[in-house]
Amino acid sequence: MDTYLLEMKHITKKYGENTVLKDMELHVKPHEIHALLGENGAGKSTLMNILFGMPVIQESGGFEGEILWDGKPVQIDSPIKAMEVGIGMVHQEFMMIPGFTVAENIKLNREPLKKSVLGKVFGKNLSIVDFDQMERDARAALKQVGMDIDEKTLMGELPVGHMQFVEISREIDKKNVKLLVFDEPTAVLTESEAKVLLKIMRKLADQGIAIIFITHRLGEVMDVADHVTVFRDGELVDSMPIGETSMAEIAEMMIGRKMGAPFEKSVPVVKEDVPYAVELKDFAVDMPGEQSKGVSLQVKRGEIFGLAGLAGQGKLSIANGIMGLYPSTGKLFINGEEIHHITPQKILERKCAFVSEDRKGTGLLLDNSIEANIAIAAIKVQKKYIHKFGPFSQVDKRKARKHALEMIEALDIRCTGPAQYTRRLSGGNQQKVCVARALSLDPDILLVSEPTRGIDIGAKRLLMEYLVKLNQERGMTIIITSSELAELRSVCDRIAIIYDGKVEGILPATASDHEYGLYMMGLESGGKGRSEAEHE
Amino acid sequence: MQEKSTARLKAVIKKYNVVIFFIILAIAAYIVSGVAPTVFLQEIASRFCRNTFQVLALIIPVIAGLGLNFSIVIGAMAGQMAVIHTVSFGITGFPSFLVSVLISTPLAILFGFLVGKVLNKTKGNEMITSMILGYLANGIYQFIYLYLIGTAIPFPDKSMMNDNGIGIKSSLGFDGTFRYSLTDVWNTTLYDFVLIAGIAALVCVVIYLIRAFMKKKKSGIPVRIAQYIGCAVIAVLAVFLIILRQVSFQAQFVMKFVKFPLSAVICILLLCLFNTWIFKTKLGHNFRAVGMNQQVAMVSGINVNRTRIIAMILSTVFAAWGQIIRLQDIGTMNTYSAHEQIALLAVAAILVGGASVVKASNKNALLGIILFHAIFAVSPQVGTALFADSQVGEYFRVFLAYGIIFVALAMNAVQQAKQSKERKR
Repeated sequence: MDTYLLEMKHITKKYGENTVLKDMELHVKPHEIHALLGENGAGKSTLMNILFGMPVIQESGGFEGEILWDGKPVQIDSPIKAMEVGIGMVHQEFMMIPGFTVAENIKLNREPLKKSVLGKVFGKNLSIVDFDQMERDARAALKQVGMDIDEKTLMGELPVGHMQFVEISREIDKKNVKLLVFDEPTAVLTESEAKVLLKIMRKLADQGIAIIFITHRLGEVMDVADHVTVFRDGELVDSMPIGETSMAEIAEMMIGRKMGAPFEKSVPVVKEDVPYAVELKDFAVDMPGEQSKGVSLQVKRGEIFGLAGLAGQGKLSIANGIMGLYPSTGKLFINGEEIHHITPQKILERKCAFVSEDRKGTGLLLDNSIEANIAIAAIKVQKKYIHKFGPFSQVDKRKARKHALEMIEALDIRCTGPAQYTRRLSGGNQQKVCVARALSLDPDILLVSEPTRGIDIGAKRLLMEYLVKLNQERGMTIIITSSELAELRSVCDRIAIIYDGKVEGILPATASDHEYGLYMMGLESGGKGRSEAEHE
Repeated sequence: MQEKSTARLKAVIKKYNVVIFFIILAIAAYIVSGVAPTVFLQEIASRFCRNTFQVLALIIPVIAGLGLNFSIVIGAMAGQMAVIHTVSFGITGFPSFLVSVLISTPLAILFGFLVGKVLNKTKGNEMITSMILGYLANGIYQFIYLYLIGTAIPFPDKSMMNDNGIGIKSSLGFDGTFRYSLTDVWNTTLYDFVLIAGIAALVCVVIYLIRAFMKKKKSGIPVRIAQYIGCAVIAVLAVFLIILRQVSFQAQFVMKFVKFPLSAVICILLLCLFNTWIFKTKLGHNFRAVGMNQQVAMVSGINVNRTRIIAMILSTVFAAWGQIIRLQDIGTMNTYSAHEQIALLAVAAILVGGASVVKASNKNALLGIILFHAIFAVSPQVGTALFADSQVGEYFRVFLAYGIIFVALAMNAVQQAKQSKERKR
């Protein structure tokens, strides 16, 4: 009974001087859903890269330790080898070709071939691909997962939620697969989709496939996992069956300190009769997939204001529209002054700063250092950190570095130093750099979008605490857009629920769950039901 | 209903905007130039037969994600090297064509392999790299044929060498040796070609009908009906041309006058068929996968670098053969510059046909070469007619070729930016 399918023993991995994994252990049995937990940057991804033989490991000097498969040592030095052994991976960022059909993606590089003379003589590369068979296989695999998707649609046209299931179909279509790695599979799914996914995972495990489940959602772990292994800072903390632990204990192991009571903001600082910092009148933003269609609201000076709503309802577009990143119509007032023809420059000049939800796209210069990322906006907009020599100017590197070091300290950015490239940072630390940059503008109004998307509990808490501190100490007005309602309710004074591009209602943080639920689904004003909301 | 059809028309125009623009330009240029129809058709026909093979050589690298392969220049050099040596052995006629192909193939495979290796090290900058590699190879080629021949490498045919016995002459004529070695295998007139094509189309329709009848598949019937109609249109067109011959003496005259080397056309058709076939194979499927996303292809176990090298080898070999086809038809060769414009012209032609840096097909190549050379052929006359100076037309040629490439690259960049924006949704 106690035979392990996979054993990874004494795994140590260094990137240059930086040790990211130290003497790591992982033991996985067949029929088991094995949850892998740890903060961002704890080394989960690196361990999985080693397991999957990704080239990045070889290119950076390999690793120490050994991998046992079915009790025998194996050398996994390429993804191809990993596949041959029977390891499949459901990636966090989809490994799909948008220009291929669903069927082509599922059968990628495992295409069924027609028998032909040329194929026999010159090998399988010159055999004709049997597209009919391919579609039949794909349909069967999709059926096993329980998804009703047309296998002939182009991947790029599928909704994000479905792509995950196509990935799973692809992995189980590999007949020899014995171990499946799910890397944060539920991060992009809606709640109902996530439930379906967990069910499928259970089903696959019952069929004898071992599953490694990486996630940040502890609730899911408690629901579905059999065994849990916790990492912290590249080291093994503990590994135990799920029955012997609790959610609180796991969370504690992950961040390595006792969790206090759920985060509570002390007292709202907003008085009744303060002027508005931001006022929107019939504000509509044309942001693809997140349109808002006429939002009117007022944010008081010194307030922490939340924007909530389901994905696709338009909450993200508001901050983007205010910053002038997407075209908008309607009126925008900042500190009572109407802004015509909104451009990012104008808004920044009025002491507003923005932390984008799109860290890697508009958020960061990935191939620049942390200090450059932090300083760039302030250099451009406010001419900070600059030496003047008559008509010429030059960046004052020393001042910029000093500021960067302060920020790294204040926000606890885990890095090798201010000169490290932001591409190398984990998601949570990249987010902190984004916040640091916005703060170096010394703004009066701070817009933050999805600050905690894809980052771990520790970093989340620290960020939120920091935002509250800014609000209370500097009187900064903060507008937070987030999909995580609980998080908004812990820090905001008031929360506007966006539904179908409009404000469905504005609630105080203390309103009941029931009330929030109704507003989120657009039911309060007799709007449409959930199913349609999801459809959009 | 009206609105719907207008919308559809708009979509079609948007999709084929490049092609439509150049069709209009070609027609306008033809009218303005006042060139006789015989001359016009002859120019297009002979340019079509000379250049299409090399344009088709561009398709595989585009699909495999290597962009427009400017290094077909290197393939062309392999072809020229083969031709020089074949002629120096004193081989003539069709055998000289075959021997050239035979010699050029291993050379082109080697060159393609080397280029592929380099391009694998410079991912993301394939086009500029391939262009610079072309210039680099040009230097090496000149060094060998200007200096090493006659000094380090013995060369049998003194008449092809410079007077001092070192290096090949800068201009070579192949009259009576290599010239028309392929063309003369089956040279015919445009009139006969249309006749043959018409009969072939009819045969195709009959075979198609018989096969459809045998299969009796119920699915996809509308598609098949559309295909029948397509074939029928070709057949009717051919019949119409035959009738035209009865009716109009002038049309008959024009078509009988225009020479049309069918043997070259057959080579072109074979390459078209090869392209179609290869994209149905596992290898072709890998080309597409690698072209669309290397990362995903690699994780799926496709050997990305190897696939890219194979694409480069195929393209280089076809470019070499294309150069041989071209040279035997032209009959003379500027030893040190015959290859220089190859890539530019081929790339411009395929872009005119509606291809892009990431998408190309046989259709693009065939249509592009006809349109591009229609404009290219008459532009000196257009210059004369409009500005009373044929030199202006010459400038226009250069402007046209570079302009097309520039516009295509710019459009591609805009499109990519749009796509990445859409992906963020």
